[in-house]
Amino acid sequence: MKISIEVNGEAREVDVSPWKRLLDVLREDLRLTGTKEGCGEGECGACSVLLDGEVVNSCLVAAGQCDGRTLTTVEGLASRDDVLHPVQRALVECGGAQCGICTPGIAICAANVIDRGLVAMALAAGDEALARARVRELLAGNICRCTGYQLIVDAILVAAREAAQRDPVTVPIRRRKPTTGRGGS
Amino acid sequence: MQAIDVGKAINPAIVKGQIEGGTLQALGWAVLENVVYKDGRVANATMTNCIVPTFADAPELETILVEVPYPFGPSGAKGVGEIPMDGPAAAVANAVEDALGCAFDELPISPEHVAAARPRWQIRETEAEDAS
Repeated sequence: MKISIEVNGEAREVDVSPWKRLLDVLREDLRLTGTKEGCGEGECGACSVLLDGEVVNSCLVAAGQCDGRTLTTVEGLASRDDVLHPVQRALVECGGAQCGICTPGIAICAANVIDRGLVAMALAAGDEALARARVRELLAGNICRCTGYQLIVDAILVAAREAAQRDPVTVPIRRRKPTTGRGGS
Repeated sequence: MQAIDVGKAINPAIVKGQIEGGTLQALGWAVLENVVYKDGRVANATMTNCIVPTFADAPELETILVEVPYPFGPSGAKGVGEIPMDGPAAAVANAVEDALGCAFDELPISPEHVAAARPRWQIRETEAEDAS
């Protein structure tokens, strides 16, 4: 089956079985080996890529599902003239990578978190602990055996602060209403 | 929080990473990770049933590097990859023993193991008694 995908801003076409895993299409047919295979069963997040801007585990996506869609892999995070994405730079500077197998997936998910401003509100409110907790919750689908996560969270917050300075959040900060009784979110 | 004598930290960021990574592995070993063998094979060889701590499971870790140059190491450095594995599990076991009044001599100390040890619990009645 002929499948056309826009990969990192470039139109590509591959002729593969529609059942082939997206991960294998990326690594074998498109030779984009930045995306790594961890567990191969959707638990670890090492093979995360952005499919139409949503994070997916590429080991769980069939090639046939990707026809006509847009993909971003870790190779596409840096700009064309090799300027790293802020989160990649922060991971390097903070020491947020050790053996490196989980790093491409973490870079993709963290870039998605930052580019969508998902911790911007917590940072704008000046709540460091909330921002850290939010990062930990959002990245919980990516397992890392080496780092203990601490330096990765540090790096993501460095990059998120940088992004917040570049384009400050204008979202009004909602104070939590006093709740009556239990519940409320 | 932990302080570790690393001799000389040649690259402090990497040294911190090694310590924090080892600490979280040890904490995982203490409360979550259990490798089960059945007929000579690992029965829980996937991440679904051998639980490795995630971002959300991991506590905030604070590391203090104590630098006392070690005369027998290169540039005064010491090996640091293994040492963080030694303390945390024992610290968790001691904390659980302090809370429940009974010792655990096997890892992991999972919620199931804590529940199974219920007949051995000796919880002190009040904080006041604890303080006296």
